[in-house]
Amino acid sequence: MAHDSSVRAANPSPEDGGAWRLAIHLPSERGASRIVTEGLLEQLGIHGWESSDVFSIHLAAEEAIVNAIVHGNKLDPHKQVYVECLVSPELVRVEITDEGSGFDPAQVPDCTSDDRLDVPSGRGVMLMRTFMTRIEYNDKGNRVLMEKRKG
Amino acid sequence: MPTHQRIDVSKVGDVTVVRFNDRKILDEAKIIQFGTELFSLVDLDNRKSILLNFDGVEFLSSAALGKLITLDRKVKSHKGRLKMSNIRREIYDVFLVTKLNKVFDIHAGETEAISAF
Repeated sequence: MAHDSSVRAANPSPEDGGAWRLAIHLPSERGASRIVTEGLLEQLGIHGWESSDVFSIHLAAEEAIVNAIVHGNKLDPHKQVYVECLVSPELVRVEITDEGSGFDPAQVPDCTSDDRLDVPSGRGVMLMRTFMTRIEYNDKGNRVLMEKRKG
Repeated sequence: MPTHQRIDVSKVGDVTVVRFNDRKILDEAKIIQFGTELFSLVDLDNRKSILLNFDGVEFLSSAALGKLITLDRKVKSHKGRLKMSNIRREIYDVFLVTKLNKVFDIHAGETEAISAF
């Protein structure tokens, strides 16, 4: 796949228990999340994560990267999304930063309220919160850190 | 009969049964096509009884959920009925946490869903 992203994937080292790390700039294009999720899914299998956890992490990563590309960078070809991943047997961490103006996650309406149940959009952040162990935004709201711990 | 790429359409009695050609309903371009093909069943073909059989589908994103919600609204506005079946556990969990299980009519298997029309 041709794209103007840069990749830095470190080999496992004894100091960090053989964790896999990835740092990559993604173009603000639809479908660019695949550049991260393909490697992430492979490494989750290698590190022994169960299929239900793999589903959760895949969903959260996909939603967060799409949010960064579409809502953060607004598909601006001059902006990039920076993604850092760590996968170890016990912990997965994904940090995603866009070049947008940020948002306040507290202001996202509750998608499960009766009057919003049939609204077609607005579920990504809620799914990220539900399916990961920990999720934090920076004050500006253009960077999200998500973690999944085994067990 | 229009040609579909993302979905496979058949008839069981009066019920239109839709299966999905992708294990992962994920790629945004495909999701747009997925929506267009589903909506055409209602908008162009005027189908009233539609069953979505998710057998083999392993993953869908919130963008795909959005298409299902829009389809459900279209079917209801055309006074039709939409049901779903064969949803794997992880995807059903997504429906549960988003409370879409209250919006969608979900059945365990295809036979049970068809007999419920």
